[in-house]
Amino acid sequence: MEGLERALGRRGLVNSGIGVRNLYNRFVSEAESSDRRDLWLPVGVALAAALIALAAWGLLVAERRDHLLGSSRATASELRDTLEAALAEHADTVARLAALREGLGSEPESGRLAALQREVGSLLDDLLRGRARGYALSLRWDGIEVYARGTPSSDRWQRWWRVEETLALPGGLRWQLVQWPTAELASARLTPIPHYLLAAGLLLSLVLALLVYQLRVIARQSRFLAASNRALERRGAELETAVGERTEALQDAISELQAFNDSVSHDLRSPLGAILNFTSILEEDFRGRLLDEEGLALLARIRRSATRATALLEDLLRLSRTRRAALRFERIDMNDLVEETFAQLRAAQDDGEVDWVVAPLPDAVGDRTLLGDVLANLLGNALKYSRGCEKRCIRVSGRRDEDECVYEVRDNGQGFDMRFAGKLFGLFERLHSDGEIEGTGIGLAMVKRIVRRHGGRVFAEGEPGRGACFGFALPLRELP
Amino acid sequence: MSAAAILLVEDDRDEVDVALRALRRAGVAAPVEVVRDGVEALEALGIEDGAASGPAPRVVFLDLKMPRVDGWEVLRRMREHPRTASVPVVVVSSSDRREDIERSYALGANSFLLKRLDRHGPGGYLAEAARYWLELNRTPREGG
Repeated sequence: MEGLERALGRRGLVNSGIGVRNLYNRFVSEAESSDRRDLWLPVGVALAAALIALAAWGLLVAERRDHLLGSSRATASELRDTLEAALAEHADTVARLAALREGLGSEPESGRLAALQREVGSLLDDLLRGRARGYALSLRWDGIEVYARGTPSSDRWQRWWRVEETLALPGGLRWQLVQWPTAELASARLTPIPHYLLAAGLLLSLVLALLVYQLRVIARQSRFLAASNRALERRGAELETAVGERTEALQDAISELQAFNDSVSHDLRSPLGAILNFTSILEEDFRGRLLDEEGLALLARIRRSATRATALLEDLLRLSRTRRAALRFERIDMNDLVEETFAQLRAAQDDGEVDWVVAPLPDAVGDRTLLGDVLANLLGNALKYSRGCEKRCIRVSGRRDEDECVYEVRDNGQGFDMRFAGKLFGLFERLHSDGEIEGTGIGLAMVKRIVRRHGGRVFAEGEPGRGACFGFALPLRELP
Repeated sequence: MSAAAILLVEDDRDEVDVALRALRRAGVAAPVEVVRDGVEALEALGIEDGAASGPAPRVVFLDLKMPRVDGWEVLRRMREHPRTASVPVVVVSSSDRREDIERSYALGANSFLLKRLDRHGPGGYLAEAARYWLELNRTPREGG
């Protein structure tokens, strides 16, 4: 395995900066590809098996052949002895035949040869009739055939089975006895089984080779996969660590940013407050003295800008608080909270007469500060947007449904176009320009965020000129 | 120890000027002593040097975020010292975070005001509070 890993390292697969997916793909394609080295062993095994099969076949065939040859030789020997003995008894017949033979020469005329053959045949037929069954015999006398019996097998692969004996005849004559197996004998004694076995053995060796090859491939694949697993695991661990570190760094950065944001926002309050205070003082103390109408108008514009900046700041701080602050759940008397919030609003901006109706509201379970912010925003909006009305009317109502408490704030002010209802709760989205109605575009986004943190939902509907209804629903909740 | 009825503990010069003007305009005649941080406040209250002399102020307006010694520390020390233990303390802050309010009351503040500009005018909220604590409220010292 070490060698494999070194090899992988050499190819730069483990330590390169390639991504996890690439790493995996490369391993898979490596594992699936075949390697020439995979062939050596199977080929070797195939050759060995084939050689063994061949050797076995060879041995079987040789053994068989020796056996058959041995028995043929025995037959031929026996035949020779018999013939020698028989011919020894007919010495004068043999001498007569010898004279005949001599007279024929090396290329005998067919008629005289036939006569000779008849003579020999009559001499030997009985003797040879029952003997050496299955063999074809041929007796030669100085090169010419004087006796023949049976048809030798024509199979030239059986030449090894030919046996030759020399008969010693009276008078110093010699005859050649050639013995062949007939086709019948051959087919009876030579079984094809060894050949079948050889074929089977060769087939087997092929199969074995394939098996070995496949096993090698599998072994190689599993080695690669194991290595790839390890590499991927290592990669995974590296990535996890990196992700962990990155997340921590990000969280630290976010906390820092938030802290910076809060601290800056907080610190901006004082200077903005000072601008508002001193412009008020200027207006109060120097009206008519150093400041004429024009001066007062300019002052008013400074005041408006500073007010807007302060409002934005306050909203940003509140928005930040909704994100950061841990929710402190408690049972809240909503009527109480609404009265308190409204009182604070009126103290801050006494806008004149308001017909103010608060229906009995179901208790809510939530964070009092944050829900107070929600109500401050909704009620504040209701006040703002109904400012132009002759008789302003704000109704706060609520009900407890099966799984939620719903609260609604209705006003009879400007209302809004329902086509833009989707944008209402978006951050910094406004449906009215700042000249018409002051606002920062943060309030409703903050409301949505707070309500969402409580697991609730916000909704709104309105009609231009006919007022609006803003509301939120909180899920029913048990206090822990 | 001064004879000022109102002790204003505030490090921002602008806030001080606005407060003084508001008190003047509201007709609050009581003398006002202004200190810039917690250390001066403790000295003015006679807590720091240990030697008590003269009456304690009738109301203290206390800013929270100050250098060196902050408002909470002053409050804590005031409540520990018998001379100043029952002097009304009005915490004045630019932030009304719930934690700040709770902590102030826990340390013994009587009131918590958020710096704001409303229909009472610049510094008007503080003048309103001053009038209440000086004219309406009774402290043990003033009891009959």
